[in-house]
Amino acid sequence: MFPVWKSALAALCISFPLLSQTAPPDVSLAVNGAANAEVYAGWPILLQATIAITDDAGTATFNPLQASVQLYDASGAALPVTFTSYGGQTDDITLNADNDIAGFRFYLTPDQTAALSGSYQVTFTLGDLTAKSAFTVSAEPTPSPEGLESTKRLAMCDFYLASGGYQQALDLANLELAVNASSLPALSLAASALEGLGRKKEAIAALAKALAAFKTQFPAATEPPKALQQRYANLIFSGTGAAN
Amino acid sequence: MRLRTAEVMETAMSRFRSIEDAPLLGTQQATSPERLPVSSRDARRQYSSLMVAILSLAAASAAFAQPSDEILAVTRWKLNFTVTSTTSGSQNDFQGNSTWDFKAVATGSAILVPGTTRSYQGLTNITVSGNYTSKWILPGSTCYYETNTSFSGVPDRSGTRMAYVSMIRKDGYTIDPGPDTIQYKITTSEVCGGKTTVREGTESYYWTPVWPEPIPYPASGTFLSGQVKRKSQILIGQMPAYAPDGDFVLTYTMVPDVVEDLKLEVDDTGDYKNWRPEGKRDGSAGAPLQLTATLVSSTGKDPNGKISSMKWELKNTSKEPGVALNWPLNAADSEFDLKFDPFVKPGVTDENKQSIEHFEISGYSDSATILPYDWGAWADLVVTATLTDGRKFTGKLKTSGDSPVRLPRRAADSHIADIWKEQQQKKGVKLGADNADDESKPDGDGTPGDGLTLYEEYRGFYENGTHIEGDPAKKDYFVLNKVAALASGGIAKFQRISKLAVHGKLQPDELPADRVINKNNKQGSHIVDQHGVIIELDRSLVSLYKAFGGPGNPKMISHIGIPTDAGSVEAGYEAVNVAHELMHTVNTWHHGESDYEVVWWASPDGKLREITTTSPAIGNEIRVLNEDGTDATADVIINITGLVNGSLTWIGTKNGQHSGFENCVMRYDNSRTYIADADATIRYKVREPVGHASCSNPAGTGVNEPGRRPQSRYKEAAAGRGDCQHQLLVTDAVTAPQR
Repeated sequence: MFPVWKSALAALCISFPLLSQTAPPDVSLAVNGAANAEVYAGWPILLQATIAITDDAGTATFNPLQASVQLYDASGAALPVTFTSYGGQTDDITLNADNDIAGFRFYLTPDQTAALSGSYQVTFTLGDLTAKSAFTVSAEPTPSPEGLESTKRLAMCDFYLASGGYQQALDLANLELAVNASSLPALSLAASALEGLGRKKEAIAALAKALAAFKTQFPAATEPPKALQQRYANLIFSGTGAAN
Repeated sequence: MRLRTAEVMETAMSRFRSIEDAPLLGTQQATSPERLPVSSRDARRQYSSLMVAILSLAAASAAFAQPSDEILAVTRWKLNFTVTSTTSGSQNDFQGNSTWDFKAVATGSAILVPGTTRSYQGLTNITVSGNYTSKWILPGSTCYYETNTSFSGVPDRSGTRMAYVSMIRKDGYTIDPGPDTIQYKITTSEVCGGKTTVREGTESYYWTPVWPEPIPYPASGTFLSGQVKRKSQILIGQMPAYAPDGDFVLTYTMVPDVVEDLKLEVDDTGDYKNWRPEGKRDGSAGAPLQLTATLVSSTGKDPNGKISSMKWELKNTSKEPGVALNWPLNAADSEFDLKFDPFVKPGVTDENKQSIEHFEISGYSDSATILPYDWGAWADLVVTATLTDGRKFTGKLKTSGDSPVRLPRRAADSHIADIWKEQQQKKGVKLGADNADDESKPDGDGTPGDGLTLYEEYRGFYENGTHIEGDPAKKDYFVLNKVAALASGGIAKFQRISKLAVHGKLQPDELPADRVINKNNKQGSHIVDQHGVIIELDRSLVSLYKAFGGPGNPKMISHIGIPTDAGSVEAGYEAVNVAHELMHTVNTWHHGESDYEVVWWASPDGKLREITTTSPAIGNEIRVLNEDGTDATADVIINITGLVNGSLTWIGTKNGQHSGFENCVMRYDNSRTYIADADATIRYKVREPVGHASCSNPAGTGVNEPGRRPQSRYKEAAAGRGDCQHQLLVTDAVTAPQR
């Protein structure tokens, strides 16, 4: 788990990135996987930022520790809300034609979003690169529409996985599986939680179920569930020697 | 009648003599022809000429103020004039009771050349027409004469007599229009004692008096014009001996008769040269174009004339919907794309601001401002200058002479601004006609174009709130990315490897529901509805990226679905998956289709078995080796033992999805095992490299390279597959072939 980032720390870093390409990198930001997300107060927010080389000849080197995220309210005023980074790396990143994408992830806890309401803008900044995204926060509807509880469980599960709360994530995934035993997202999240808890055999079993569920749910799929397959293969081949 | 005329002549001759004898002092008195009798005119002319000669001599020694040098420099004048004469009335005296009514008009012109000092003369061409009626009742009698006649024709000696203009006087010039009599037939009826006697005769009418009053010279310029009035006797037919004065009006223009070619030039050296129409996202006007039209003379001097009005008209103005091909969405307006701005210089405009007429013209130039409301706007501009003398001139471009003026500057067979074409050509782009869609970069499957005509590339689009143009050298491709960072890396990768001009930042309000990116079209060149591609989160998908409808060209792809768990996938791998699906939207297929899935399970006898559709129910025993030959079977057995339904495992095959060029995004990377060529019971355990490029050859490379140890894993791509770069098909104008 990557330590919590502090904006102050980022501000102390020397200016990066170092760019040497004909076209600037593309930088983009998503809130909960959307360009203009609608978020419920008290639900977590997962932020994804991506920097991509757009030119074959281009390279870009930067220090991920410099990345910062700032939240603004509808009036444009900066808010003292700290986003927490997770799943990233701390070493310098060099992008080029062979390694052309870098991703950054941040979250806001349910407690943090509970205090939000209305329209917001969030910016991701790394050196000269900036991306913006807008989102709105509203109260969770009551009574809950059909499926909302399930969606919330999965969102919370994602958040706990991001923040290292594997047991909470597993509990929520199991709750969801109790309602829908063939839930692909729940099986996938449960497997991730189990992996995080070091329970490999159970993780393999969860992923095996997930793959079987995929075949059942998408019998005519023209593409395989490659990410699931990779995760599964990584587990069943673990401890078997280096792969080529 | 004859007797009466003789009396008049005698009286007049006595007056003439007195004038001739008068001292040569005041010109007004000396040249006054007032009440000169009919037959005195020739003598009067001789007198006038004498006066001019004497005054010319005087001018040599007198300190006269000069007409302007500009006027004196004129060596040839053109005189146009009209002389009207009217009188009507009655008279009752010792000669009887007379009534009369008369109107006549003479119109003429002459080319004047220098004569004596500061005078100009030239032969005239004149026509005169008039009407005359009168009745004369003899005194103390019931007898009367009635005359009723009209006439029309040329004066006597017209074409042989001179018009004459003198500029010798310091206080002005004088005009003598020229030959002054016209012969006409007159019919008089004498009614007396119940008997009517008709007589016919030929008489002369003096259609003009002399005009001795000096007319002031203009303060500047060489345009002489005006109107002079005076009263003078009209002597015709049965006029009384001392008939009342008639009203004579001389209206004239006199301009230098140089060989002058007037033309109205529209300046094409300024903004016109570089202007291209622009629209604005909010519907307001883009950068205006101001055009100036100037009336010029081939002499290089000011034209001989004055502009009374300048009318600017836009014709054949385009009415493309919206302001660009995708903004606003589903535009259906039919507003004119170019309009005159009535505020920069107010004038009389029509409702649609397609014309504006200015009446306050300073000098010989006028300007109009044109406002554009569409990036692809066009029109033909006609500007007409009307001069005070009625002449009209239509504007032509100063440099090319083109008329009407094409807006923007463009070829006659094109609606695209030349400046844009020139900018493209500077980059080495070869351009076709407006309806050309012939980009060959990247070559793809050899089908040229991207579904957008050259005009559409020029008119352009809105992307992320900003106007963009298509790339006339590259195939353009449009994406609406609703998942932002989850797909942006993949879009960037797709752009890099496909070499297409990818526009990946469309906003939801920049692509209509039917995904037609060039939907706002009406008159501009358009060959096909070209579609953009939507990338969106698909909550029905987990771990599955899918181009729904593909492989195919963009019109076939309803959307690319991004799975709900995409956010948990490593960003680089996420991008590969998105790029892979994007390649499907341009009809790029997998490297093969022969891979399959099997079930591995750890049997109670401690063996690893593989169940296939052709194997025994219990499966066949297999071993799992690393490619270095070390056996991994035992560990696999440990890991999958206990799985209720076994372990679903993907087997990569020769010429299957993993075959061909190793580093291609279209090559699968999910196979973790393949069958050994040397022993069908051996499964090599592998981790496939992830592709980051696009292949241009079906041959196996890297792990698929022939001769590799322990073997080429999957060999070359299947027949007709691989060589992905040469499968690309962007245009929706054709049916995407299966590969």
